[in-house]
Amino acid sequence: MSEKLYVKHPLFPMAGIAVSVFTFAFGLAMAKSPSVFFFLGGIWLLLALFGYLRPCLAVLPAAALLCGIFCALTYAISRDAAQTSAAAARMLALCIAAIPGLGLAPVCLVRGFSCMRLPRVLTLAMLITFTFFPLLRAEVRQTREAMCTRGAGGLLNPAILYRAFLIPLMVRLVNLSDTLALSVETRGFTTYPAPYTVYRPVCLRAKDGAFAALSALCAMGAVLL
Amino acid sequence: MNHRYLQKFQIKDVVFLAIMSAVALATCAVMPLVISLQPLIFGISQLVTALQIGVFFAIGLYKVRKPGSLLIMALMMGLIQLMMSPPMFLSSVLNGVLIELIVLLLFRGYEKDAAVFVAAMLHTPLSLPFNYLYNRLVKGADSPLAAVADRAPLAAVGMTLAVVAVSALGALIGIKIARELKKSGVLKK
Repeated sequence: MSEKLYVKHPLFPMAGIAVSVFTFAFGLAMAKSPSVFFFLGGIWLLLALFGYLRPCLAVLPAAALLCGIFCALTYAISRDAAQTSAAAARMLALCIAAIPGLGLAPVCLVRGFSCMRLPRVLTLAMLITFTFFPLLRAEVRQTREAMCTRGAGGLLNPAILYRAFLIPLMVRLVNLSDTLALSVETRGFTTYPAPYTVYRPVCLRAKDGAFAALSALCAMGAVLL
Repeated sequence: MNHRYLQKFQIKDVVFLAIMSAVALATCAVMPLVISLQPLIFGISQLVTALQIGVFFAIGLYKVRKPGSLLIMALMMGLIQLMMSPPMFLSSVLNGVLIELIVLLLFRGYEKDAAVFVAAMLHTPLSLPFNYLYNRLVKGADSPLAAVADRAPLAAVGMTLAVVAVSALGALIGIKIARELKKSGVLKK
């Protein structure tokens, strides 16, 4: 997930997840009805208006590509325009459901879960998982560079991949994990239930209510059409 | 007895499991490359991710041998997948719960290497029946992903066996790496 896509003032994280699940579920349930495109278009527009313009635009090429491939395959198999349209609706529902997630910074999600008093084990693990990807990329690059320096050979050879890439990378990851755990522990984090506060609490706002109401209107419109 | 089953997770356990799930998830980035083949080849996305998930889940479980370790890794993977595809989250978490139960019933925990192997091996193959049932029940019999298994059941069985084999290979490699790291003193319990 690219940091450029993060929204400055996103929806409440749980509301974002609910929008994703609702869009996906409703899109699937109504896939065979042509009015589903009205619903999906409405949600896309709403998200764009509520500050998610960048993720909305970023998802378009992937949606076009996936829709094209799935529609072509469905039409080749079934020779039925209605089934092809349903396949397009399902793929669009999947792509639009991904928008709130693309625009949500991991730290907002973790703060949201912390506000809901989820176990510390989960919020801590979530924060590490979400923020580990850039670090992992750097570690992989460093291990590859070390391989080149030693003249270890290409990664396509399984023996070299195992001995010169996988083992050193795992050693680095284990060491990183130990250092990170020590760093977290010295900052006073604990997995035992202890009262804690949340820096910049994330809570429901009027914006989330407005979004929910407008989404429900879109769904009702699609059902009535 | 309670002490044996319900061991408290320490910070270092949680950090290691989170890192392993992040690495497993990052290596699953090859999945979008084959997603367009899903309506043609049953279980193709599971086939290309089984090896990596097997390797990293096995390493995670080898170090943190506590009941719930696999569920934490599955939950972390699922939470990121939730943003992209809600059924993948459901599949990941349900598989995690199911495998924890199986391991608890068969091995009473992850103390034995066989338990680590079974748990790491089962995670990806179990998502195949889930995906099939989900596509059939929610999207209907005309869903391309369910129809591909109905059209060629033998090929679907073949792909399922291939996913199990690749996943088992991944779990074995993971255990081999973990043993080597433990022997060299890098992986401490």
